[in-house]
Amino acid sequence: MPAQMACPKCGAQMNHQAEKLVYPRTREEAERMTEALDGIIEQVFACPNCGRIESRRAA
Amino acid sequence: MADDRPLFIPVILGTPRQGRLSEHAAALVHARVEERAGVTTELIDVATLPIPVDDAGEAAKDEAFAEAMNRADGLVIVAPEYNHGYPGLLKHVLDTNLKEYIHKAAGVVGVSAGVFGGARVIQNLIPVLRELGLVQIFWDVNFTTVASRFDENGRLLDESFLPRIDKFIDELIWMATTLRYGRAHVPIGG
Repeated sequence: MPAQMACPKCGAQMNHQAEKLVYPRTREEAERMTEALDGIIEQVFACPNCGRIESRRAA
Repeated sequence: MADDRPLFIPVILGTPRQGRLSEHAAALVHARVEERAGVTTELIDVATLPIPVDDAGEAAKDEAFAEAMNRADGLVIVAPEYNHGYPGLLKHVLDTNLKEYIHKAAGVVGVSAGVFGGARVIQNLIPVLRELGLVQIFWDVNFTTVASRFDENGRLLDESFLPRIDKFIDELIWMATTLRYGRAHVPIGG
């Protein structure tokens, strides 16, 4: 499981609600891409308190 | 935590074309959404968004539009059919966000001059919405022969469209409500 994320708007613990396959935007990201996935995982979080959505690239 | 925030379901008018009749369709659907209890909405016109056209994707993001998409629980997209496809500017605008859309409901209102009512633009738009992470509902609205559906002031001339619009909104609200719960409380991967 990925590390948790606090909502930048209200501070509540966010829910890791999705893992979205995205395409690399830089050469560096392209080098990290695996053929099996054909992309990079973006972890998407939602705040149960205020609804805020945030995301980050998976390590 | 209790979540008593109203749903936010903006309506996106998806064409900048001069003389667009989709504007009447968008205004009508927006007014019907606005009447719903527990729902707030906003009419977003792609023609007025300050999104550059010398870049694309998230690099061209407009802060206010991104904030509206972040806050949204669902979207109504009003899309006229141009050469069987969607307006280029609509795609350009949608592409400026990603995380903001994921696991949110979307419904499409198709508009056309002919008898198919934007059926082909809806079919072409669905794969795009899916890749953006939006969840397409199974109701559409199809404004066939749109020039005959509204008068010059945008007044609907054929009220038989209203029940279908209302069913479309019912389903969109159900999906938006359900997905809000899921986003907030159901973790991916168990």
